[in-house]
Amino acid sequence: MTQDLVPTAHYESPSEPKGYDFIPGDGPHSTIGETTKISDIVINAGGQDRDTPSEAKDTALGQLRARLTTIQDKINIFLTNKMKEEKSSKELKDLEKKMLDEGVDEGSSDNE
Amino acid sequence: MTVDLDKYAKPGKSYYIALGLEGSANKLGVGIIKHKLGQLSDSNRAEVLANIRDTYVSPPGEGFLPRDTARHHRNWVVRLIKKALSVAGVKGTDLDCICFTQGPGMGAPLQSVVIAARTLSQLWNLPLVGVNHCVGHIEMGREITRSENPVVLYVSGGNTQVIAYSKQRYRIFGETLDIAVGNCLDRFARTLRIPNDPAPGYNIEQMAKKGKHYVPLPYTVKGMDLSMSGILANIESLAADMFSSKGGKKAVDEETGELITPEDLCFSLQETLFSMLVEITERALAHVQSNQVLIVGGVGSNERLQEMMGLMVRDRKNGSVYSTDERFCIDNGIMIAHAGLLGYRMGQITPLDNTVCTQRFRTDEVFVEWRDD
Amino acid sequence: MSELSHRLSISIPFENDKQASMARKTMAVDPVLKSNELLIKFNQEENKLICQFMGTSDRVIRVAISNVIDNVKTIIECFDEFDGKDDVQFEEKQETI
Repeated sequence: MTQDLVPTAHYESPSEPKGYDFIPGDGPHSTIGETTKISDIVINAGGQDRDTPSEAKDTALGQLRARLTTIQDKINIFLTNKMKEEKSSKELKDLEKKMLDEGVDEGSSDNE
Repeated sequence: MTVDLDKYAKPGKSYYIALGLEGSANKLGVGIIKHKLGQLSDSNRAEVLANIRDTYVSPPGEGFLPRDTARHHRNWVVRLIKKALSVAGVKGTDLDCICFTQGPGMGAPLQSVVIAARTLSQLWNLPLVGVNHCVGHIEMGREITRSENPVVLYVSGGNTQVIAYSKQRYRIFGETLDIAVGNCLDRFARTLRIPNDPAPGYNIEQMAKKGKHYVPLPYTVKGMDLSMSGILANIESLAADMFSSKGGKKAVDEETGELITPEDLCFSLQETLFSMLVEITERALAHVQSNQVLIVGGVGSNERLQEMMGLMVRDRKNGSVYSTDERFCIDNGIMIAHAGLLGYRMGQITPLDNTVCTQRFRTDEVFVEWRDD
Repeated sequence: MSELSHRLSISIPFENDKQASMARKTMAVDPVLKSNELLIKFNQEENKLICQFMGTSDRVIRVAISNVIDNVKTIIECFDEFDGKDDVQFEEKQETI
């Protein structure tokens, strides 16, 4: 087989100033991804997934497609976690604000 | 006839062959068509070399989500293209062009298919032809039925239009003001939790055959147009009462007092919607002084609709109704190959940079250069 | 808020420069929705397709990148099955689809 085709990715954001690198790793890799399944709505309604991707052929491109699926999962999971963090830190801020504001409300309560 | 359809034939070749890819809704279709040189006619028919389809079917009670539909298309498209080429016995070098649905339709599914079209076009050095889905239905319907200049009723899950040809355009005489007739039937099927396999509309049709009582529903023809969302809301509330556990006001037949069944509702819905469709089609016939009706689109396979349309045209001199079977009226790749090839034969090709798909693409935007009648 | 401070780039190698070029052309056609929140650039560097995402949040990148990778996987499958095979007659066993 010719040289392996290996995709790589790099992420940077205010919460990750030093950056974060993604590599597919050693595998095994498959074209069936964790984050590219059919919707939960379908499964919960008793549906089945008969639309999984074709298997990766034992070619450089086939293996590339499988590795890309792995890196896609890694990126999707990473970003989803980031979104949750973002959300929970926002929720924390909201909660903080609410508590503080309520504190203010309490202090200025006209409840005699 | 002055239109020359042979200017773009490959040197020394006596025919054209086109590949067509369709994926604007939940069907993924790949078709391969052959046109011999010269005008298409009763003795020079287009030849279907392959017409393969795979449908994304969602579970009962669920519609098809764009995301899962796009996933279905992208995961099957390469396998389906290979299969079509093998069924047709055709190689890449035999092809003249690659035709794809450019719209109208659902954005994500359309895009997932055009990606394959663009790639294959570059790999095999073949021009792309973007096709209007509605024009695909019309041209395939005309070719299969050999109806010359019919008024076209295009009825599907995404579209409801009455169309007549005039001066190289398919002009829309009337259309739905809100939801499509197929969408109305599909959504009611979901309300009743009727299976989506093989198609929700088909299953409604079978239930309607067992309906005995007609339940009055709103009748909403507005000039040449029609509206169906109010009818759907009305019948959905009847169904909700029917399935309500609290007893309460279940509908009964006005004459016999018998309880209204789901079958009765299917029957009543079909009769109401189809009467409206027949009415606006009849008006269009009068307008353009035609006696031919061609029904295309997925709902066109409904035999009750065909029958009601037949009763209407029977009263007209030389009246006739043309329709095709499910291979051609339900979304398919061959109609895209066929309509695209007609355009290609007039030199209509779509440069790569213009191959963006669009959810809205009106039937009358297409320059029907291949007709000059 | 409109600062595109979240960045992700992915580099995808192909068998040759020509494939990378075709992949880039296929991907570059479609416009990016929400262009005030997200910018996507496709570049070819030799046999690699470089996709750069610049967005206002992780969310906009999350949605865009997965769709781009899905599309690139379709392109790869096309290359794998069809590249250099325009003169090949495909013959498939009866596959159930």
